[in-house]
Amino acid sequence: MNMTYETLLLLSPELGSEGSKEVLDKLTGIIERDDGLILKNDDWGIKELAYAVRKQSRGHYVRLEYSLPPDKVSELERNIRNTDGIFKFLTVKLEQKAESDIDSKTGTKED
Amino acid sequence: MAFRKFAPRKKFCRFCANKDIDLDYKNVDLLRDFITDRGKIIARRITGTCAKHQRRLTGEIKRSRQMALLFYTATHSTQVHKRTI
Repeated sequence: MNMTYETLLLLSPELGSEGSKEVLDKLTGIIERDDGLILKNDDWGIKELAYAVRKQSRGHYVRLEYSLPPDKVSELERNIRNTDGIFKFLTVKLEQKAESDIDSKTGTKED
Repeated sequence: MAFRKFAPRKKFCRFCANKDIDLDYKNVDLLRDFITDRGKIIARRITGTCAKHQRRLTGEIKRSRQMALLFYTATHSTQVHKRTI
């Protein structure tokens, strides 16, 4: 049974459009390899950060919404950690559409 | 009595009153209402939020801080303060 998750990525602004596309393609590949499905790819663009992260005051936010088997999330997060150019990320379990009685939001990760 | 000229307005939980409010770490403008301008989370004694929603609210504020959407403190500084003596 796949669960829906969302991951908010904070990418380095120095990656540029090609670099960030490369990172996203890599993550998309990993999700699809693990029997997942990308539901939404939400690009917020480059935003001003509330505080400097790795001496950068701006960052590129991308929100991914996907369904993935629960045991594969740690595998995805491991890959995120190993990827260069990702400053921070946060994975949140979304409310399941079919079973609304499941506790809505659990599990956070931060770099 | 000289003090207490008017009765304070009854506080209410904004999230109970309006179920459509999306309490989420991405909704930064909403979360900003519940922190001071120095970044501290305002007590529910002051805002009137109910216990259930205050618990979720603090969680979402902290998530938001992790992702640099909100600040931890107003005095985040990019440069290191070097003291010259």
